[in-house]
Amino acid sequence: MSSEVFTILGSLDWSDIGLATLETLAMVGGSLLFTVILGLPLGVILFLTGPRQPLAHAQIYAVLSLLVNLLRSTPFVILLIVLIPFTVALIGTSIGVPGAIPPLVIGATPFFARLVENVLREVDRGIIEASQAMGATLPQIVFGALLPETFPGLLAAVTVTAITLVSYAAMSGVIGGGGLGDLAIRFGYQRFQTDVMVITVAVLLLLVQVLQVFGDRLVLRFSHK
Amino acid sequence: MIDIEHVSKHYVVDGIAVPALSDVSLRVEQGEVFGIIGVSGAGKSTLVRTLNLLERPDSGRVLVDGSDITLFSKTQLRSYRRKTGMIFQHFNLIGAKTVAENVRFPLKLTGEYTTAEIEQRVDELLELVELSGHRDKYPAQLSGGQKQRVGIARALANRPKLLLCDEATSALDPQTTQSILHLLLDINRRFGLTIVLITHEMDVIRAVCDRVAVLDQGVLVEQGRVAEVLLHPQHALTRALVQESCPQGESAKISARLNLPGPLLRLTFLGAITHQPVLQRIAAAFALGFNIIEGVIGHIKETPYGQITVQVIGAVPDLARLEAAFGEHSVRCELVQP
Ligand SMILES: Nc1ncnc2c1ncn2[C@@H]1O[C@H](COP(=O)(O)OP(=O)(O)OP(=O)(O)O)[C@@H](O)[C@H]1O
Ligand SMILES: [Mg+2]
Repeated sequence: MSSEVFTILGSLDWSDIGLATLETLAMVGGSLLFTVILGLPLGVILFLTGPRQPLAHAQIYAVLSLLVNLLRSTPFVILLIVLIPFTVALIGTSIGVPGAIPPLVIGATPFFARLVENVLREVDRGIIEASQAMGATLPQIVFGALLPETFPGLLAAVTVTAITLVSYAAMSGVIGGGGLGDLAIRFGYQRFQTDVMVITVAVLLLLVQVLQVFGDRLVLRFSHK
Repeated sequence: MIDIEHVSKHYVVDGIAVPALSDVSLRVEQGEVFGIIGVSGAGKSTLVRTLNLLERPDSGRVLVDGSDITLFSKTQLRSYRRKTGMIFQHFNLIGAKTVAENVRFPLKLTGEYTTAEIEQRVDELLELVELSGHRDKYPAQLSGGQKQRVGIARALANRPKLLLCDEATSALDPQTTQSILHLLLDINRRFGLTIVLITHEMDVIRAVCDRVAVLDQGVLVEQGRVAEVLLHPQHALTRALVQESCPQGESAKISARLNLPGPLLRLTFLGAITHQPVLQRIAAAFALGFNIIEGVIGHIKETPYGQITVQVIGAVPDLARLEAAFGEHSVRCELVQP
């Protein structure tokens, strides 16, 4: 039994798997960076223009909210395919690690923005009021009070988003995105190499697990409740 | 210093207009501690929040040192707010910032101070509120009283001329309440800071306020010097609030129960006279006895006062003469029951 497992593992091309793992990490890391850069301001604006908030604006909020919901309700696979021309126009290719990043960012940004909005909503109104009473400007309230106060919650949102990106990145293998998903499709599915499939899933699981534990640690480290 | 003129404010709840303040006018003098009292929902918070425009009145004017703050531009309002401290029932500290960082926050907002100046001011303020040893703790690690002290230090950071207190002691136990009230009084005296505080407890008014206004369902029903309002409440609500803090005025019931003969007098002492044997002198002069039925002796802010109800025993003289005799000692005498 155990020797059988060994032969299966022995027949695998470990360098392929290593490379695919690195590609997945690059896809997740690169898209996470842009997702946070775009999603954080979007989430803050969603929050600020929401009902009873400092910049409350029903129309702007409704439009942003609809846009976010539209992107979130589109299945990611569809988004991947629909965005191919856009990706090509933007960076010249739609395959490999670079080609996977734009759809990943566009898929994850609305998700992250909504998480940010929810985290900000959890802040006690009194904190905003106290800042207003001190004569703080809106940027001072956001950067001096809201973001520091929600930092642990935002870290948790980044963790959840990173994990979502791991599965999105694997899915982007469908359109030749590279990484572990690509490996699973090409070898595991098209060539019926079940062992590759199993190893791929195991590596993805490990990745998710590490992200979660690391994220939880960070949240705890910065939480002062 | 502050003139609130004909201020009204309503909220819309489920499409229905709910009045919160109806034509409120009052004046707060420079350097005084002004209290606003009322039951829950009376509009106290709404009123105090019009003083820094956290709530904007629908109509009326809010004059501070002669200028109507409702007409301020955004920039003017910000600089006015920086000179107006506010403390809250639930402290509203930033949980992710340490004590020192919370106090530093309003100082950094102005962009007027150097880092060294800010640090010096933070030290000063923490010293003032006796929290120097807790500067690197987070709010979650402090007691309620300590949190409110941070709130006070933060509110005083930019050397305000006016301090607004929205139920600043309502979340604290009686002992902590006393220490916070002492701190506020101390600040009022040392810095000549004008304080407007709202509360639903007459004890708070009695302990620190110079003048008081009573708010009932958005309407100002009574205002005046604390001693006057406390000892001679006019409005039914004021009487109820006074009763709550020190039950009194049961005399009529007591006399009925004991079937007491003779007139009942209510005597009010205010100031140094409280500690003089007035009752004994008058008893001697008129050859009368006084039977004390009930009463309180205490302090309004730092002024001693007493209010007792006595049964007159013996041949009752002309009541007008008796009243005049008490009057000579500056003791107010009212007939409760002939
Ligand atoms: N943001 C708001 N939206 C709608 N109604 C409000 C709002 N704030 C206050 N009210 C209403 O206005 C009235 C006055 O409220 P306010 O908070 O000023 O009372 P308060 O005297 O401070 O009461 P409490 O002692 O409970 O704090 C109440 O009827 C309250 O329900
Ligand atoms: Mg209130």
